[in-house]
Amino acid sequence: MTYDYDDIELLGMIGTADASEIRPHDGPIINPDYTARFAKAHEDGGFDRVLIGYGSGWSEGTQVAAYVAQHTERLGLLVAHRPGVVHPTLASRTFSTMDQFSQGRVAVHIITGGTDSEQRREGDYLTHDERYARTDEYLQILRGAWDEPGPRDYDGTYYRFEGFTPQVFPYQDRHLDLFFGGSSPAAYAVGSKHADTYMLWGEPLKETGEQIASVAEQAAAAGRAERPRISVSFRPILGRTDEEAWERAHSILDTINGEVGKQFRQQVAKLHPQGQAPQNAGSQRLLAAAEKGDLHDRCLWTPTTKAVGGGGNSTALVGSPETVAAAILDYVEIGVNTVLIRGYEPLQDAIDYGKHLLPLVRQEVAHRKATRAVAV
Amino acid sequence: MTELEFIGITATQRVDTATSATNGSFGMATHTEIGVPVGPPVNKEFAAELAQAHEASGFDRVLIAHSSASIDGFVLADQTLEATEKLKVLLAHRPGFWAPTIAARAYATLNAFHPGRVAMHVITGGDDADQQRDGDYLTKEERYRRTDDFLTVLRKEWESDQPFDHDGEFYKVTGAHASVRPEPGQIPIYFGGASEDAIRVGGKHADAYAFWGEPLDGIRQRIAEVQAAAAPYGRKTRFSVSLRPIVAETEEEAWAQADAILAAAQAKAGNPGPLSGFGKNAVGSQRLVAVAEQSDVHDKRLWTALAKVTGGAGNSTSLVGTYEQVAEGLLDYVDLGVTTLLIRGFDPLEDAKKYGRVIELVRAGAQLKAEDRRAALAG
Repeated sequence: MTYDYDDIELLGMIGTADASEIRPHDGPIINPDYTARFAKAHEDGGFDRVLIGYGSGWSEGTQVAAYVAQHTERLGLLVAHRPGVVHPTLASRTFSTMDQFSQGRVAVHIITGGTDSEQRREGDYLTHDERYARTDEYLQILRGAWDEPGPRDYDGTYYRFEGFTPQVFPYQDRHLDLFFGGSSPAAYAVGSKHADTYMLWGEPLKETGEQIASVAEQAAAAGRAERPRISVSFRPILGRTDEEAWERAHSILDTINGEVGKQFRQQVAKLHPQGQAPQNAGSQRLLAAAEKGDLHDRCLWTPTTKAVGGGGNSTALVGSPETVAAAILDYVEIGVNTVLIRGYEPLQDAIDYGKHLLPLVRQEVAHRKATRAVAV
Repeated sequence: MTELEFIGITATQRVDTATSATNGSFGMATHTEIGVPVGPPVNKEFAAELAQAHEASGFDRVLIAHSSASIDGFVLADQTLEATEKLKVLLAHRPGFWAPTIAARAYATLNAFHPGRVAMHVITGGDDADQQRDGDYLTKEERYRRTDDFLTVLRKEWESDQPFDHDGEFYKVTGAHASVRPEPGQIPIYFGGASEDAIRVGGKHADAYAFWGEPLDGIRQRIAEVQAAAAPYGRKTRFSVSLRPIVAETEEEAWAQADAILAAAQAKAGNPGPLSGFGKNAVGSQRLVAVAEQSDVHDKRLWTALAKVTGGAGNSTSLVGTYEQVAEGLLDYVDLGVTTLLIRGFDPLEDAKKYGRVIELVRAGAQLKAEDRRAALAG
């Protein structure tokens, strides 16, 4: 176990409008003021970094990140990026430029895409495994463009260029971190090779342990001395007491299943046709876990996943801050290095996490580090 | 009459024009023929200072240029807009490297954060070698067909409130739909290119067509060509001319500066950087060189000697003279129907400050002329 308690990283996630499964939204998709406040709440709450997501119809993430960088001072930015829609030489310069202007705050989250129809909305007609083969080339090119001066040529299956000579590199020539998502065999193979941090959705401890093992195995096969860091994503539902949290959890589930949620589900259905099982392995795994029961381990709750058809980060940790912090530490103990949390009341939850949850997690991590050191 | 628009240019690196040019590093971040780039290639404070200098001088907009080596323009655009109050940006984009759907959403997102302050400058790319540095191996003719297809999808992504399909020669999408869209016409498309293909595609899609600074007769002819290409689509296109004014208190001083710039550029051209040859096979460059070979000075004060040194790479012709003379030279283009003037100098920051007086004189002159015209009509 190469885990170092010092390194635990806590991530949030932001959007550009006040919307969630239980907060339907009709206004403009980009509210600059809300976006800035949302990011600032994370910075003030002590989050290390925020994820900015990617969807074929969403606000474009690099523009959101550039805006957020101007309205925060130290918050890290994790910009989701889908290989295939932008040429990698150009993408490398985009992230280097952003890293320069934000003075070293950028990381890139590579999402290859697990749903054919979503890919086709932007003109990508490759098959799943071809997409991962392309991502493999794409990440070789990004890494090279960031780490070594040109000129350079490349001649691959998906990309070819000659004499590429970028004049912009990451801030102070630092290593720009790659995060990676995907739970299929093709994803494990490519991601374990390139990722600095491998991102998983919140499955029970046992299943998460299996995924960590798959990533570690593939990383070793790729000749890496250490496996990538592991990140797990959850939707914590907090209350002052466990009872209060459970009341809130059931009320959220009722809202998702009720009229308000119906509106949300209809909006989502326009983009992600329902009535068919999700095509991506990550959602299939979440649904499989949800089929085994509603409550897992200490307080992992999965009916919310079923309610939204397994789409994305949708499993909850329910309880008082103490209970949820303990559950997060359970994941730390099986080798998780990074935790991404976002709520159903996006802005208010980010504030509450910062006030009540993050300090407990950091305190407990520090405590275990200290006591573990004494024990040795 | 359409309101006059003045466009300057951004940069992210300081240039020392006092030093003689012997440094091999060719700063695409600054893209100037003389002087030596100094300090970090991405200098946030300098970028802000330069943008603010443009705003203070009365510029409406600044161009954010693009090449295979340059920094990412979107990020610089956001920096520029945050650093200023009302200055707008003209963000250059080369079709072919971004899917049109995501390019459309990137512009729409930038515009949503800075409403009405974003325009797109479509440059199809005239130089095969520079295209290949970013992995584009199409021929120039194919590139313009792709630009046509690209802009068709881009506009649908901006305008369609329903999911749409597209099956073109270069782009195919199924069920595309953006949740972020600009108001109709909120992001104007500027277009550059001097070849027949360029005029055909630009006539179809451009809200504003940009020319490099040729003599008046050349511009008159080009305006007519674009208008003819735009007519079938019912488009009324604005026209832009790009020039590099060299101004001083006296005419002699201005010409002395022009001579010094030419000498410095010749010295630098003897030391080509890694990307020399940039832009050389563009028709626009060939046109500039052809003009320059006829004579060094055209019309009253259009100075083209520099185009011979640079091979016509980029906007490289100057109006040389006093503030009043240069303003009059610019007004001659306005009289042809040009309503956008892109002016940039050889020392980005100092010239941006200096041009404030030129801009004031041109605006006043255009006003006067309009009044004269009204008086003549009344008589």
